[in-house]
Formats: sequence, C-alpha cells, structure tokens
Amino acid sequence: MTTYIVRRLLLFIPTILIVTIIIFLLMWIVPGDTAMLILTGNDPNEGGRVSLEDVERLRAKLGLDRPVHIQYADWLWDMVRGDLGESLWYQTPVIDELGGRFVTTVQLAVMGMGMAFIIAVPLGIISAVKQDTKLDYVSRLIALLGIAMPTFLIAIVVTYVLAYVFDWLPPLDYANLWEQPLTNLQQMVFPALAIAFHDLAFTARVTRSSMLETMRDDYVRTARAKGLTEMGVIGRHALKNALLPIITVSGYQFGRLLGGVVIVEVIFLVPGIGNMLIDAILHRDFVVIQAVVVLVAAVVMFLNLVIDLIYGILDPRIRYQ
Amino acid sequence: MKRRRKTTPTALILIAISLTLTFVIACGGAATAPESDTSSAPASAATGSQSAPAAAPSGGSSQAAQPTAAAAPAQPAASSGSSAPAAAAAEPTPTVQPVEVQAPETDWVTRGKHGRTMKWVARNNPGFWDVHYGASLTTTLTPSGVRFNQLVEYNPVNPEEIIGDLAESWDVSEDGTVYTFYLAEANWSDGQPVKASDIVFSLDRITLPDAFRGRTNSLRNFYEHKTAEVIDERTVRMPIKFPAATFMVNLASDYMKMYPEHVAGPLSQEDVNCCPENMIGSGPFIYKDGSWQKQESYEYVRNDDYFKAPRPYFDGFKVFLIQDVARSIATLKVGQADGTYYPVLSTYTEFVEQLEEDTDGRMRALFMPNVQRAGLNFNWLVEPYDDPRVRTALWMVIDQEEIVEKILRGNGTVGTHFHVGFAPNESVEALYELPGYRRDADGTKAQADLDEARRLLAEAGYPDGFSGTITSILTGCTATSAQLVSDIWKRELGLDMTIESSDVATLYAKWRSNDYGVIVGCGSGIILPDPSDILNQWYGIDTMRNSGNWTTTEFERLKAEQAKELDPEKRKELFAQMVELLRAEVPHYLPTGWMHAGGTLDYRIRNYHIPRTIQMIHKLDHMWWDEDAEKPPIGTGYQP
Repeated sequence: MTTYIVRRLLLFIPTILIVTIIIFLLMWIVPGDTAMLILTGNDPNEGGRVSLEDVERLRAKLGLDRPVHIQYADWLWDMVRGDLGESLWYQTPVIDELGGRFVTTVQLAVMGMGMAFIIAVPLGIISAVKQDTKLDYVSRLIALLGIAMPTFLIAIVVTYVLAYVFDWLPPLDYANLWEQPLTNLQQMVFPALAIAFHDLAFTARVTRSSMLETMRDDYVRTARAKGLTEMGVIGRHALKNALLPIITVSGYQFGRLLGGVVIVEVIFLVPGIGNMLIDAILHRDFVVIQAVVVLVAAVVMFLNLVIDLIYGILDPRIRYQ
Repeated sequence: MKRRRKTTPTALILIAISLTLTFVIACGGAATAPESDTSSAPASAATGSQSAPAAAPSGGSSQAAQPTAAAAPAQPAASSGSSAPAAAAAEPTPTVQPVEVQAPETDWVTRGKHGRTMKWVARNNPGFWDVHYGASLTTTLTPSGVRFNQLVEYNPVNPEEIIGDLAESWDVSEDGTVYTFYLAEANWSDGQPVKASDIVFSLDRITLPDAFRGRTNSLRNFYEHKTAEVIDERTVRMPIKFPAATFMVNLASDYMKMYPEHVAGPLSQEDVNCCPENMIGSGPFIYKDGSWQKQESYEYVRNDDYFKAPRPYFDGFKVFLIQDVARSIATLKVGQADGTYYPVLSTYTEFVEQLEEDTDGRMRALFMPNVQRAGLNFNWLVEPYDDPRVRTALWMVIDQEEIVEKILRGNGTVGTHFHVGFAPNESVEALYELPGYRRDADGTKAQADLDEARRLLAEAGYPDGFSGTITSILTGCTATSAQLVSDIWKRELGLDMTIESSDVATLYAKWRSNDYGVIVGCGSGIILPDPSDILNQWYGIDTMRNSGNWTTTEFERLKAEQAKELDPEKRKELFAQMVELLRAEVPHYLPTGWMHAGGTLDYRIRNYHIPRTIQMIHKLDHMWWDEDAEKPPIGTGYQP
C-alpha cells in the first residue's frame, strides 16, 4: 500500500508539469497580452492613444518579450522554490490571495456536493425501489432537468426568483464562515444549490442504476427470504454495496466542481478561485492562471488518490500494490 | 404596499443578457466596460439650466473655487479668473471676455445634507490606482479619482464651466503662454499643506518623458516638462508652448490630479499603481485601508479636513464590483445599492427605465445623450478596404436609423465625424441631405444611396461582393451591431462576412497589429468636451484607433491649426473643413451613429448634474442624500 501511495504521489510531478506546459502554451497561442490590456485598461471602449512603443516598453518590463521557453523556465524555477510569482496585472503576490480564495471555493464545493449527495441518494433509491412508477418518473425527470440545465442558467434563475419574487438577495459583503457563519450560509447556500442541482442529477442516476443492479443480486434475494423488512434489505444490504460506484462518481464530481464553480462564483459574488481565474483569463495574467491551475490539478489528483484508497477499504477484494 | 410588477419582460431581458454574458465569460470573453465620453451632448438638456457657478463654502477659510470671474484662459489679452466657460463642442474656445465678477452662488452648498455611507455597483475591478498612468475610466479614474483634486475642474453643478479646484484663481499673460495659479489653502489627508512645489511636482510627473500616461498625455502637447516654477508657497507659474484653445479644457480633466510630492516622490510607478494604501490626496474622500478586496469591493471614508468644507456630504461610500449585469440590476432592484458607479455607465442604458418601473420609482433612469460613437474601423492597408470606393460603399448602405432603432433601442441618433451638430456642415438637418443619410419619401433608406453603393463596389472590381471578416467583441451592442452590419452587407451588396468574435485582449492584439479587415465598434467614447479629443483618439498617429496611421497632409495642417485657433467661430470653420476633407478622403473610421450612456441613481441622491462626458466630474463632493426628498413620478427619470 505504501509503495502504491508513493508511486501515485510521484506521478503527480510529471502530471502537473504537463498541465503547466499545456496551459503555458495555450496562453502563448491565444492572441493578446497583459501589456496591451494594462495600457488600455482592458476596456473595449478605451485604448485610444496607446503607441506600439508604449506596448513594447511595458512588455519588456514585464518580461513578456522573452522567448516563451525562458518565461516558462523562470516561472517553473520560482514555483519549485515555492514562489508563485506576482500577478502581472495587479503586481501583487499571487500567494497572498490564493489561500483564502481556495478555502472559499472548497467550502462551496463541499456544500454543493453535500446537498447533491443528500438529495440525490434518496432520490436514486426511491427511483430504483419504485421502478417504473410515478415516483420513478418524477425522480428521473428531476435528474434529467438537472443534467440538461447548465449551472449558470440555474444560478440566474435562482437570482431572478430571489430578487423579483422574494425581493431579497443574500448580503453583498462576503462574510467569513468562522466569523459570521449565518451570513456566510445565506451567501453560500444558493450558489451551492445551483451547483448541487446539476450534480445531484448525475449522482441520482448513478445511484438508481447501481441500486437496480444490486437489488437483483442473490444476497438481496436471500435477505428478503430471511424475512428482513424492505427497509432493512435496502439499507443494510443493497445500499451498502451500491455505494461503491456512487463514491467513485462523487470523487470525480468534487474535482469537477472545483473547476466548475467559476460561473456560479461570478454570479453569486463568491470570492473564490473561480472568480480569480476569470479575472486572470480576461487579463491574460498567466502567472495567476498557472497558480490556480496547478492548485486545482494537485487537489484533483490528491482526491483521486483518496477515492482510490477508500475504494480499497470499502471493497476488500481490491488490493493495491 | 409592495407592488408586484409583471415580470415577464424583465425576466426575458435579464435572462437573455445574463446568458450572453455568462457565456462570454465562460468562453474567456471580455466584460464590456462602459466608458465614454464627451461630446456636444446638449449638456443643458440633462442638467437643466443650472447656473450656480463655483461654490465657495461660506465662511470657510479656504475659499475654494471662488467663482468670481469668467475669463478666457487662453487669451492674447491678459486675463485672470477663477472660472471660465469650458471650451466645448458647442463653444470650443474660450472667447475674449472682460473679467466679470459674479456673486458666488453657494445656495446648494448650504442646502447639502451630511450623512450616509453610499453603496454603489460597478462592473470593473480596479486595475491601476495611479490616475496619471491609467488609461481607463473604470479601472483607474472611478476607483482612485475621489482622493485627489486637480488645479481646475469642471463645475459639478454647471458642467459648462471651468472653475478653480486647488487653484483659487489664476492669471494668464498677455500673449496667452504663461499661466499663474494661486492655490487655495488645502491639506493633504496626512495634514501636510498643499504647496506650490506639489503642483510643480505633479505637472512634471504627468509629463515625465518616456513614462506611459494613458489619459494625461495630452498635457505634453501644451506643457514642457520641468518648466513650471514655484513663485511662493501658494503660487505656481506655468508656461505653455503656445496660446492654446484647449489648454484649460485639458487641465480641467479629471485625470490631471495633483499629488503630494512628499508621498508620491519616493514611490515607484508600480508602488502607486498597485496599492491604494500607498497614496494620499487632498480630495473629498480617503481610501479606507485594506478595503479593496479584488472582485468584491472597495471603500472610501469622508475627508473631514477637506478644504471645501462643508463638502463632501456623504460619510463615505462603498463600491461593490459585480461583473454580471443581471446580478447588478437585481442588486439595485432589491435596494442593496443606491446607484451605479460612476452614475452614468453605458452598460445599463437599456435596463434603467425598466428598473425605474420595477422599483416603483426608487431607482431613477439617467441618460447622457449622444456621448459615444458607433462606427466601422477599416483596415485601409489591406485589400479590398484600401480602396476608398469600397469603404464608401460599405458605409453608405448602412442605415443609421436602423442601428439606432434595433441595436441602440432608441438610445442614440444618426451622426457623423464630430459631435452631433458641432460643425456647421454637420447639423442633423444637413446630414439628411447627404448621401448615406438620405431617406426616400416613404421614410426608408434612399434607394439612390443603395444603387450608388453597388455602383461603387462594382467599379472597384467587386460587382458580386466579396468575402471577409468582421472582428467584434462578444458582448453588448458591439456584437449585435456586427451581426446587423453583416446582414445589411449581405442583403444589399452580396458580401459574405464571417463574424469573428473575440474578447478584448484578442481584439486589441489584432487591431494594434493591423491583423483585421473590419472592426465594428459600438460605444467608443470621448474624454473631453471638445472635438479635438476625437482627433486625438481616432486620428492620432501610432495609436490604437488609427493603427494604420491614416492621415493626409492637409488634415494634419488643419489639426495643428485648430489647436492654436482661439476664435471659436474660426475654429469651428476649421472643423467644418476637416469634415469636408474626411468625407472626400474616406478615412479608416466611418461613423454609424452616436449613442447615449445610461445609469441609475436613487431619487434621494441629490444634486447630481449630468456632465458633458462620462469622464468628467468624478469627485462626488457635491452630492448628498436626502431621506425626505420627494419621489418624482415614474417615467420622468432622475431629477437633480
């Protein structure tokens, strides 16, 4: 097991390296650079009097005139030493902001996933147990809606309903969870709901199919033959075994959520890494983009490792070497 | 009783816009940031007939901006004063006027009420806190400007007029080339007095050779670096290069801020840009340390030692940074913010009237008429746009009324090269007599113009049209304009245009390197209330909007001549000649209309007078909150 973990951890290094190279090349290929945006204020209606000389001077100052591989090597060397660099746009250290924002995004993702899990699993179970009944149809319809509706649309609809039906919106000033938990929950519950609705659909469908499969297994039939109640059969036998694929999916969903909260954060004014990433992309601020991507990539890989390990614990048949 | 309004139209608009915006964001698109400008906007239409000239606080020891004289600043004859008519579109050059002493009107100053920390919504995150450096209204001036003063400013309650700001009064030499400014008694927010040396330092900092100066570079046209002198603690002598028609117009710009030498002197450019904590000013508000949370908000508190006491009236204000327009509108709808910051932003033009209804008249619609340009930017260096006949044909088939109606939703007008109606040959009536503007008897675009466009295109070698690319920003009226223009060209000329949507970064990269065919613009604004600003922005050499360096010898001659012409009528005539030249030579930029800017304020915010450009009057030291204000009837917009 230890060997396996070490091997997986070592694999993180080339994976992250490849991710950073891809992102760096993408940023290099996409037209536009920070220098031009700085001089024009990143505003489509500005930029009247920017001379090429100004642009070149600033590019040189920011180091953007150097060959791309040199820029990458410099950035990588700094990162290896724990220095994520300074934002090209704001000229402030990236690390100063990343930590707090990451925690906020993780909170949102955990809440979203939690809500999805709490709703999706019972929904999937009902759907499986009451297969081809009205309950099943309603449950599947909800799942279908969740899958069909993009998260940002759900976010907009939620905002609209709050503002125009209830004449209320969550407070604007972001409140820290530990300092003002109630205000924080007011602010986070709706974006969490928006992302949960999308994810619960997927989880519910996986739960349903997994439960259907499990319910047909011999040991479930045996449990019923022993005279166990239906609740006992479902809860103690079927669900326990059906959980494996659900957990696998949830792990994947969590990683996806970290990247998927971007639009929701913008609409609900959540100061997480999604908001930061959007801002950096619009400014072509590759230093910030790289930092966020490396962090998300590392977390996703770590989560995958944890899920794999949990999988092994839940299913004794699986042994890692 | 709370009224439940029918929500369908709002819902549709909100959802449609939000979908677009979020899609744009998802695709790495740019947030359209409003910004605009100047123009001949009939300022009085918005401001009413405000007469109160400079306000001097009664009884204060620092009599700021004493409105005692209306004198021409750039004048062959020696003059002096503390207020001057703003050389503007309607009246571009201060005329020779005898010094006329007026009684200061301080009525509004004493009527102002103190209190309340205002809450605003804005879209753009601050970028650069150095106002001398920054090139953007929304990322530099609006976040940072309230901390500082200029030497002179546009009168906040009568934007037609230039009055003293830190300068209490000033003299102009007989030949119009030396200005002497007499400073008011004022302090920086650390308690140090504002001295003449600070003013000299600021003027030299603005004109520092090789330093980028996005919005203040125009001072270099008038002032030679390191030539201003300290006469005494509160007197500055400032020579200019020539007697200039628009020197004061430029000096009064909100970007021409005065900095404290003892604070700004030791700081690097990066230090001033990056961190609002690093700088202080003499302005009405003081940045609240640590309040800037990126993509969230920033906050200012009242400067209790402001030299224009009893101003400012607000205890402070907080700006919430909300990229998503639908969320901004929703925020205003539920009363979480008191208005848009800066009050008139083009982003909100199409929503504010609905918002006035949705809030039962609490939020009032604001419009600044005809302050932004829409037009076609041709890359005149490449085929087929290098042929003036092609450019003319493509412009001539555009129905500007259709653009105003369908794209601007009525918030604009047909227009041409300079501010609507500025040059004698550019009145709206005159325009409708011209090719490209004419209408047939049934009100539709003149068939003769369509035929002429086809003839020109055929003559240029494209009888069946051609294929090309329109580059456009993904958002707002720019995107819809591009689609409409493409449709019109297809319908009338058989052109097969591909619309290449991009974000701001991509657009600018292509534009600056001349890697485009046509760029459709919508919402580009001007900075100063003078048509020379259009020359600077659209016809400057080696600049973004003239990346192909279009010009002619005669055009350059006229540009230079108007800068030195002090007689307003003669100067107008020079602009009329430029109009004729532009019509004949068909430049790289051809206008397709002028559009309004829009925003919203709570009706209890008093004394906001719509300036002549969106770039003017940003200190907010003249506005106050009146809880007892009477709510005007719905549909009447904001009343000062």
